[in-house]
Formats: sequence, C-alpha cells, structure tokens
Amino acid sequence: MAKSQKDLLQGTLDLLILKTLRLEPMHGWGISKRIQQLSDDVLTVQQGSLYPALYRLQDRGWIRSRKGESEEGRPVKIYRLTAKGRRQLEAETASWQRVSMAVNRVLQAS
Amino acid sequence: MDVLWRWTERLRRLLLPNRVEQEVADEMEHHLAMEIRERVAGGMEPAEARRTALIDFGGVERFRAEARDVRWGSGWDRLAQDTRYGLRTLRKNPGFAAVAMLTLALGIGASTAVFSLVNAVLMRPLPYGEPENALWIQTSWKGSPNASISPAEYLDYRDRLTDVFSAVGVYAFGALNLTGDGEPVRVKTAGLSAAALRALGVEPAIGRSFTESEDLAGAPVLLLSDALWRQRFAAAPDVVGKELTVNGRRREVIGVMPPNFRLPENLLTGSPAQVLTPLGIDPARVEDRGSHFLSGVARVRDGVTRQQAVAALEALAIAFGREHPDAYTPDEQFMATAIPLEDQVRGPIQGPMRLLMATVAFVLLVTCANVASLVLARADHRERELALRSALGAGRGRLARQMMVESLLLGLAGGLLGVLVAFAVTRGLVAWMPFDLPWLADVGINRRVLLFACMLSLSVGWLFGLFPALGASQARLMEALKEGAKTSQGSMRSQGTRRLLAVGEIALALVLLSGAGLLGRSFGRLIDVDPGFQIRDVATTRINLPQAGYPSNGEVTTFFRELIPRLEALPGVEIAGAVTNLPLATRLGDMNFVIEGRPLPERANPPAADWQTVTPGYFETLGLTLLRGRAIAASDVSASTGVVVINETFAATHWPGGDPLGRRLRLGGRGTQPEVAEVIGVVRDVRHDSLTQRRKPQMYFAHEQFRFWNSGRAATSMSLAVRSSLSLEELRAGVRDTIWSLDASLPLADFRTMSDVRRLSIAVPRFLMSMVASFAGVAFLLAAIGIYGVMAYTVSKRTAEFGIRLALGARPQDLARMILLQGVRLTALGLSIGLASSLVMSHAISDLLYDVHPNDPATLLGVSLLLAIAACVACWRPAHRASRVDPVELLRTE
Repeated sequence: MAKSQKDLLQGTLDLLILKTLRLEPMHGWGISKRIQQLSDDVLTVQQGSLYPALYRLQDRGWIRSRKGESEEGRPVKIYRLTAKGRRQLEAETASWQRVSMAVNRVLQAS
Repeated sequence: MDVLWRWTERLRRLLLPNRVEQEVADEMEHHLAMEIRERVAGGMEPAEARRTALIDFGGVERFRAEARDVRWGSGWDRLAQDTRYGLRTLRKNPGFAAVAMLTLALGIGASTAVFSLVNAVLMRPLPYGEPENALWIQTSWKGSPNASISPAEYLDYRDRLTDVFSAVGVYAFGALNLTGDGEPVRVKTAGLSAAALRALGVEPAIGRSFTESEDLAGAPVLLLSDALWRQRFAAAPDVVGKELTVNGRRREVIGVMPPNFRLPENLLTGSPAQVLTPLGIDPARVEDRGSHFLSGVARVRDGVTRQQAVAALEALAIAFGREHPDAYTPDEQFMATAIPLEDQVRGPIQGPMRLLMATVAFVLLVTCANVASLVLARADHRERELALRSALGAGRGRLARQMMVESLLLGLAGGLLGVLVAFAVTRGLVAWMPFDLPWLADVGINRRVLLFACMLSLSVGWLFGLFPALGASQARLMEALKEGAKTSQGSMRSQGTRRLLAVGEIALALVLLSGAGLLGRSFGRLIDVDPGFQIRDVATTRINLPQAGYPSNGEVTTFFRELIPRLEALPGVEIAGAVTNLPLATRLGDMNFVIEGRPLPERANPPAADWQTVTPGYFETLGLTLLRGRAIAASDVSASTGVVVINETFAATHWPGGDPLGRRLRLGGRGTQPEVAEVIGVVRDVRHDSLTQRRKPQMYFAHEQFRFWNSGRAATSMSLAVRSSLSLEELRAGVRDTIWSLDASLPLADFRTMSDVRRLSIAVPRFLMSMVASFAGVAFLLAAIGIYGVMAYTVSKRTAEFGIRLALGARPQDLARMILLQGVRLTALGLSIGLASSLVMSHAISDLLYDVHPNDPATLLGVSLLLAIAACVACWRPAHRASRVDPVELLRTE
C-alpha cells in the first residue's frame, strides 16, 4: 500500500500549504519554514517535495503565483490562495477534523 | 479570473517550457540559498550548512523532474495522451472509423455547403453606404401589396419630406441598344434621379454623379458599369468625356460605377444595369399620379430615427387622399410606407433559405444519431477494456474524457472530409445553378465557412460523444469483468438508447421525405400547368427601336409590318408575330376602363384588366386558341376602329353568360378618355406573370392602333415570336440577318426558346425541390442504415439466446419473425412520430407549394410506405441471420 501512503502524505502536504497560504501570500522557502515552525518540526517532509506540490495546487486552481521579490530583493515567485483554494481548505479541514476525531475516539476507547 | 490565469499559465508552460523550467531552478536555488544562510547564521560552517541543507531538501534534480512531471501531467499532457490513444483506437477499428467519418462528412458537408450559401446571400453586407439608414419606399393598394411610385408622388416625397430624409431618389429600368464597335448589343439600363445614388450611399468610382439640372433635362450623359467600362473601354482611366452611341444618340460618359454596384432589384437576381442615365421626368408627367413605374429609395437624415421618418412618409401618403380625391379613391386603399432596404433586398430569398437551413439541420441530426448509435455499439464492445482501465486506476472522469476526445477526433476528421464535400457541392451548385443569382458566384469555402465547419465538427463530435461518455462514467466494473457476462446492464441501457436513436432517425427522415415529396408533387403540378399557349417550337428575341432612327409611329409600324413577312419567308419558319410583353418573362401592368352603356356608380372604382399589344400573327404563333370572334388582323391599322381581344376571364367577369362581341370599352379611369376599343374576339386565358398566376382579365390591343400609353407613341420595344421546328442555332443566323436587312444597328437580344423562358420561370422551385430532395435522400439512406445497424447488433448480441431457443425447439422462422417484428415496431413508432411532426411542420412550407395541400394524404402515405419498405428490407438481413444460427456450433463454442 505504498501508493496510498504517498497519497496520504501528498494530501497532508497540500493541506498544510493551503493552510499556510491562508495567512498571507508567501514564496516557496517561506512556506517551507512556516510549515516547520507551525508543526514544531514534527512534520518534516523533504523540502524539495514542496515544489511539485506547488505546481499541482496551481494546476488544480487552488493557488496562483505571481512574480515578486524576496526580503533581500531577489526575484522570486509569490504564491497566494485563490477563492477555490479557500473553499478546498475549508472542506479539507472539516473532513480532517472529522477523521481525526473519529480516530481519537477509537484510540481512547478502552 | 482564476480560471483564465490557470489557462494562460498552462499555455505558458506549453509554449515556453524552457523559461518555466528556469523558474523552477531559480526558485529551488533561492530556497537553498536562504536555507544555507539561515544555517550559517545559526553558527554552522558554510560547507556543512550546504551539505545538510541539500540533504534536507532531498535532491534538487529529483524534485525538478517531479515538478516537470506534475506540470506535464496536467491539461495538455493528458489531452495529448488522450489524443494519441484515441487515434490508436480509431486506427485499430478502420471499418468503424471509416463509416463514422463518411457519415459525418455527408452531414457536415451538406451543412457547410448550405452555410456557404447562406453566408453569401443572407449575411453579406449590402454594397451601399450605411445601409441601415437606407429605406425602400413601398407603395400599396388593394390587390397590389408592393407597387412602385408615380412621378407626382416621387416629387412630393422628394420636396415635402426634407426634414426627415437627406435624399429621396427614384429610378426605372429600361434597355438600350448600344452601337458602334462591332455587333450592336442591347444593354440593360436604369434612369436615375439625381438623388438616387446619394440615397443609396454610393459614389461613382471614377468621375461624378448626375447633377439636378442634368436630371431635369434628361441630359445626354451616362454612367458606365464597371463591367461595361472594362469591356468597351478596356478599363481606360481617362474614360470621362468619351462618347457612346446608345439608341442612336450620342451620350457623354461622366463616370464609372464601383465593380460591386448593383441597384437593389439586381442584387439577388438578374443582370445588373450596364448604363445609368439621368431619369429626366417628362414635364407632361409631373402631375401623373396614375402610372406607378418608379422604384424609390430614401436616406434617413442624421438625428432622425427610422420610426420618425416612416411616420412622416405615411402621414404624407394619407394626405394624398385628401389633396387629390380623384386620384386616390377610398376603396383603392392607397398607402405608402418605408421598410429597411435590407428587408426589401433579402426578403424574397429568406423563405427558401430558411427551408434549406431547416432541411440541412435535420440531415445533420440524422447524421449525429447514426454516428452516436455506432459509437454506442462500439462502447459496448469496449466495456471490458474500460472496466480494466478503471480497475488499473483510471478515474471515471478520465474515462469519460477519453471517450469524448475520441468523439471529437472523429468529428474533426469527419469535418475535414465534410469541407471537401462542401467544396464539391458548392462548386456544383454554382455551375449548375439554372438561374442568375449574382451573389452565388461568390459562394465558396472562405474563412468564415471554414470556421463554421470547424465549430460544427466539434459540436457534433461533442453531441454524439455525450452518450458513450456518460456511459463510460457509469461503467459498472464488476459486472463487466465477470466472466461470461455477455450482456451487462450498461449494454442493455445503450441498446435502449440506440433503439431510441433509430426511431428518431426514422421520424426525422420521414419529415424530410414528406417535405421533399410535397415540393416534388407541387413541382409536378407546376410543370403540368397549361400556360394557355404552346411552349414548343417557339423562338423569341427582343427588339427595341431607338427614338433616333424611328422618330414617329409610322416608322415603327412599318418596321414590324415589313419584318414579320420576311421572318415568315425564312426556311423552316411557319409564322411569326410580336408582342409588347412576353408571357412568363415579364409582368403585365393593368389599365382601367369603362364599359360603354354601363355608367359607373358614384365613388366606385372603374374596373381594370392587364393589357398588352400584339401584331396580327401573334396569337397563331403562340397557339393561343381563339374562342369567339376574330383575332387582331392586318386590317386593324391606326386609321380604322380601335379593337380589343379579351380573354375568357374578362368575358366571364363582365358579361357572364352574355355576348361580349361588339361591346365597346372606354380606356382609362374616370376622366373623359376619348380612346375607345371594340371587343372583336375572345381568347383563352394565358398565365402571363407566372405559371402559378391566378386567372385575371386580360386585353390584347392591335400594335398599330394602340397609342394610349407612352404619350401617344406606339410601343417601340417588342418581343418577336417565331414558330419553327428548327433549333435555336439553326434559326439564329436567319433571324439576325432578317432583322439586319432592315436595320443593322439592332442587336439580337435575349434570343431563346419559349421552353427556356418557361424553365427559367420555374427555376427557383426546381432548385428548392432538388436540394430538399437530395437532402431527404441522404436522410432516408442514413435512417435505413441506422435501423439495419441496430437490428444487426441486436441479433449479434442475442446469438447465444437464439441458440438455446433453437435447441429447445423454436423454429428458425419464429426467430426471424421475432426480429422482423421488433424492427417493424421500431419503424412504426418512428413513422408515427414522423407523421405527426410532418402534419404540423409541413404548414411552414405551404407558401412554397402550388396546388398541393401541406397535408396531402397521398404524399404522406407514399413517403411513409417508402420508408416502411426500406426499413423492412433493412431488417430482413438481420432477421435472416437470426434464423440461420447453428445451435450445435454455438453451444460448442460457448
């Protein structure tokens, strides 16, 4: 079931990117840093896998990018959430919460 | 906005892959640089920082490749993949692909051909400046819904409506003999008032237009058509100031019209006027409100709405009745209005064009149904393939899209072939077109037509791709994969859809066939119409005697008196005559008269009848049967008593049951007209204006006597009729030399047989009938193929069942009957739907039918029978195959 595990990881990464961009538009490295910070370094995906994910999300219409500048004035791509992405995030958050609550209940049952 | 951005981004990836690739590289490099900097700031050695950062990143090249895959896996890549796959599956089924593409090529080709026709005729802009501001002045009265304008009315429109119209112009067509430079030719001309070109919004391409003073005086100047300029002056740019001899009079060329210029009447049909002259209204006629012969156009002034202009014109027309109560009696119901020039020009062709469009739309629907049916049948075969792909991870959407891409590919391929078909069809149409439709010369495949064909192919592909795509998205995986499951739910459902499609095809084909049948029957009636004269063995030509060579009536009558015996002396010629208006080629005007001894009641209108003038031999030449009295004779000269021959409808209208011979008519309206004619004979009715014309009273005057019209001039423009069994070619030289023996400046114009004249007069109905009939034929064929396909497929699907039935004791003929009955049920359902639709829809073409009721039972029954027989024949083979199933063979293989 390697495929589904990868799917799960992929889905989780997508969700985290969306969540991160919900706060403010950001460039790639910023997203990576923010995910690490927010998850207290528990979720450490390989940083490079962020970039295929960013293209995937763009293609689904959840995020879009524009040319911008980094804090040091270097040209970088800045990503932001689209309206569709916002809706997707809400839907995924809700379903994630449902699943995790259910899993919690099962695990806590004696 | 987001969607738009997404597609531009996709397009960018497709078109600029290197730049996008570079962006990813830059982005990752930036990431690493930031990471390293952070680690160095945290106290790490730069080399160590770089090493750990790279490890945490997880391989730059790997993720670059992965990002590329993600990019390519989206949109284009999937589309390209689907296309490749679609092409491969189509190649693997060449039979299916060929049949589907050929069917589509027929449907799309026919539609594209009709569209190119519509594009050339209905969608082309009028060759006038700001055509939306140009109005056509339409006069009407009781019995004449679309009449012309009289000189006095024109002057009123011109001078009293200046606040709403910036120009009001009129014109009238004529013909002139052009001499000098070889054989004399007769050219079509138009006399235009000075404002007419301004009202149309057209300027001469070279030189200038007429001035008001030239218009009033009828000055000897002229404007050339582009064609005549090229022909006579080899397109010399310095043509202005040169002279031409028309009707024996020299006229100065003042300009050349643009190449595409035609007066409104000549835009759709007929040859254009080659010479434009000033109208020059006869001063004696400025008060003439009785002779309506002018066409009028008006240009709405800037800042005035069309409604205001029309209202002003209508108010003036109503005022005419008050101002001139003698000229416009109340029960004449005179009225004038103005309609957009656009409507006037395209109005007549709109009905036939709509019919063609509707017909071809039906053909297209039948085509779609047929191909959809084919595609569905194939989708059944592919159910396991689809199930397998689904099991391997293809999403339903992906499968549906795969099916859709295949359909679109088929549609495009069919469309490509269809354009070739359309090209051939339009070429054929233009070459074969039996009547003169100038705009049709440009019918062809241009960019707009190609765009139409492309859009049509895609939408057709989408339409028939919808069924299997929906089917694919509902594919039942388990059922389809089950071993031995021959007919799954899905294929049962698609079989039902295919039956519905076959029923629809039959219904559509029946509607088309009944339309074609009705038009054909109507055309048959038209051909059988007795015009009242003999068409065979009559040749005709038009003679126009110019004022210059024939200044008085004496010369005119002498010319014809000498010409006709000389023609009759030609070998092979039996008899000859002349007439002012040739039947089936012209329209007759009518004239008021009062019957002597029958005082007209106060305020009543005098009766009217169509009139024309003939020379003595005319009745016999055309084989017009004399019913009573005598015909016009050589003794009816200008000095003797005026005579008139009337037709049977005239006699029956005014002397029902009585004897008209010897009665006298006073010609003209209420006024005191001195011209009197005595009825000397009664002839059979002639369908003059058209074969479908209803019976009208007609009068024939002696050419030598009749002076009432044309300010006392005898008619100078006559059609010669020659009865001879010789062919046109054999006659030509003789007739021409005979005319030239009297006057070598006269052209041999419109030399043709009466059969040609008749053929031309029914060219439009013939064209429509042939088009609709060919389309109906295509639909008929497709429908037959459609029902055959459904039945054959049913049989092939149920072979196992038939084997078991046979093994259990069913007789082969029972199976055949069962299949045949099934086919007949489908056919009967289609026929009843088609019949019901025909009953309703055929009323839409009732205007185009002659002497045939739109619900003509014989026609409807006939075409239903034809279709039923064809369907039975189509079902017979599958039924036969069902009866030939070998149970032993079958049970062994199962």
